[in-house]
Amino acid sequence: MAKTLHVALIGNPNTGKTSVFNQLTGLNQKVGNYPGITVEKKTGTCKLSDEIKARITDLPGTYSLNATSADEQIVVEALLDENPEASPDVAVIVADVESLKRNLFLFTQIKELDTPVILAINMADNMEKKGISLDVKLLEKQLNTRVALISARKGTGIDSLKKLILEYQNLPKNPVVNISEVDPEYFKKLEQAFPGKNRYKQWLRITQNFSFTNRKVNPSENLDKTLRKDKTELKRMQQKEAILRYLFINKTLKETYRQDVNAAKDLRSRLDQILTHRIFGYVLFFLIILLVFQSIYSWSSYPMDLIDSLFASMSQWVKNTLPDGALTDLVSEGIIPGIGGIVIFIPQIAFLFFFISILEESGYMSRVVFIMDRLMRRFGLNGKSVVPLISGTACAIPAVMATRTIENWKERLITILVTPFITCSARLPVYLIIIALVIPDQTFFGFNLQGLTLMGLYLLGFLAAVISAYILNKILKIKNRSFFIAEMPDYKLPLAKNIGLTVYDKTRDFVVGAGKIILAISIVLWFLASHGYSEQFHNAKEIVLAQPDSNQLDEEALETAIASYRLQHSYIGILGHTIEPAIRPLGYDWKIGVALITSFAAREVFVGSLATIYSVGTDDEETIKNRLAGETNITTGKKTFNLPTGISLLLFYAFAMQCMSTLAVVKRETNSWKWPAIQLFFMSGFAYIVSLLAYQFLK
Amino acid sequence: MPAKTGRGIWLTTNCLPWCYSTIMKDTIAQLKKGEKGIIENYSTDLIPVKLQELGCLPGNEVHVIQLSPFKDLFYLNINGSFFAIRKETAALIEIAKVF
Repeated sequence: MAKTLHVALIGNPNTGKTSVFNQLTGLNQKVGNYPGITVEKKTGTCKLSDEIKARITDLPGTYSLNATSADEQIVVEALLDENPEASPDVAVIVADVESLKRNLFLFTQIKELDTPVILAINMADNMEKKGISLDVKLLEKQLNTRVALISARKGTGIDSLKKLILEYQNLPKNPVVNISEVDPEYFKKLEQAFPGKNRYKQWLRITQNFSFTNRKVNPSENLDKTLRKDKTELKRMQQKEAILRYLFINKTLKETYRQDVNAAKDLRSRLDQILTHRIFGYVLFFLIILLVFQSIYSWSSYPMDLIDSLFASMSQWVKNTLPDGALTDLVSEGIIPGIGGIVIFIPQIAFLFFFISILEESGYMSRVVFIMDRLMRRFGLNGKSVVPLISGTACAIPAVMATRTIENWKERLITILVTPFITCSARLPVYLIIIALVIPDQTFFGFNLQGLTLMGLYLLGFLAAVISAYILNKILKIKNRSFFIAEMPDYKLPLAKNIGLTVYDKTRDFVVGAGKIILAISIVLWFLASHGYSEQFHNAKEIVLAQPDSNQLDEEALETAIASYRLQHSYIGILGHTIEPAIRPLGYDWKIGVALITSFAAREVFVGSLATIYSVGTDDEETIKNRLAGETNITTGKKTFNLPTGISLLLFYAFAMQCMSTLAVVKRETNSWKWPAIQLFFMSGFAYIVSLLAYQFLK
Repeated sequence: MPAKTGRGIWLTTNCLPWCYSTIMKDTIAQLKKGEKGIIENYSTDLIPVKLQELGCLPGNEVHVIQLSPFKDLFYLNINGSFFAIRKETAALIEIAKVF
């Protein structure tokens, strides 16, 4: 049987750790992802030799094992895990050759954990250009480890890294800096209190703080009195630790590392002068965002039209080819329109993730954090809130998780709470179809009116987010001493492989995750729409024919009348009519009401649900849009999707909290049901009021 | 030579306690864009440990790369680490200017 090693990849942020992970694992990676599952640990497999495989875990980037934010906490928890299954056989520290000094800080900490450690120095291909020379042999000796010079970008050195991993049993485990030197007496006591345990692990357990979460754990509570220290004392010891480690690192690097300072460092400073400039910085940021959204819409409209008509004809093909019956109906009227409603958004979601990962990989996102911090702080947010707010345009779930880098709990909580207001890709389908139905395709001062409406909706979402952040900042009484440290990484040309993998992963997750819900809901909806228990449902044909004006209808109109009569008296019809009083003031009929309810599972379900409800009983090949456009309201005789109803729906979707996966992830990140419940009720209640006012005003 | 200047002021401040306070008032928050200083002292209790772990330790050089509009954020290079901190944190770290 093949043996599997467990390898943990650890390193500072922006050292190219994920590139190394991608190089080692390729497509053999598994990202535990939403909905519901954690995204915190990426794992993948890598074949080291014919017999031995490695299971590789990519941990979030961290500067130190003294965690100050939630993503760093994950690293510490993974390393402190007592379960032998969870603890790695070997730790690979990925370091950037240019900031080796800071990277070695983490290295010396990991080296104290009794785990074999390999140092992988990344971006080694840049050494010459940056005027760096390195005495690897001496460095290995000083650091008591093995060093691999690699370039994840060019794919060099990966084989020698694999070889080092294979020989992990020969690696020395002893530390290079001894934590005991901070306070020999204290650590002696600590060792006596926990015999046989690693003293550094014990120390980390004692000093862990949770100020960035709402967890209230006091790790020193169970400690012996002599081991207890107050916060200030612990902090002093940690500072002593930092000084001790840097003393060692400086001494080591003095002998092994040389950099010719005159060698070019120019690109960074030149780009920084422009991108963080007090005027040009903002102008460029605005232009970049504009460009991103512009290209998302113009580029993705072609594949979207194609997909739409493809699914319409697929439905028709199934109907014509398969024998008539309940199963055919289920496939052609339930499943295919439902799935089509989700597949159509693949192009846009892929583009969105493509741009966002480029902004992050290139190092530009950190500059946005820099120029936006002051503005964001006015609203009780943090410069780092920009990242979730931007990536929220793709999906709130990864965005909520991206708040983990925010050190301040209050600012983090506010960011989490307001992120779902940002127009996410799941709202797009709803917006696009309603805009196409109710907003005229005209130009207004040279701009396309439909495009302007869409932009207005994005703006509305953003304003809702910052205004509610402002209010939350005033209301929430959370004491939290704020500090802010944002790393400014070097600019990098984004790696095609990394971008490609991100886009592939996220798009697949979207399709699979949402697809499952939509498939299930489509089937249920189809069943409810094509079955009923009442007299009226079963005898629909006779009842409609018996109506006095039925003989004036031609054959086609008669058939439509029968189908809609049946639908009204199906299970779904009865359900819809029950809730109609609540939604009629907003301008919705019962069919929209049903679609609205189903979209509390996920917004994008709305279009699929409408497609399913409206396609039951019809025979003609139609795209979703044309079908909805032709729909008229029986009681008023007007079009169902007119301007007041459309605007009311748009506003409802802009504000309402309709995504179970987001609620689940907020629950996990805030550790309580309180916050997701507040989001659900306040956002949806607000949406109801605004839509009500809008419809009554426009009617 | 930057390092020498730093030590010079450090010596002065120790020999002449009366001017200690006036010179020591210089913090990172007083630096302008492009200016450099040597970190001298700060109150451990107020500074996050993370800053020290990034290399913000006495004796290291600090270089202000960029200031955000309204001088709110300081984009620094300390000891080869590039990062930004807010003004209130910058005002806690005492330095000796390097000219």
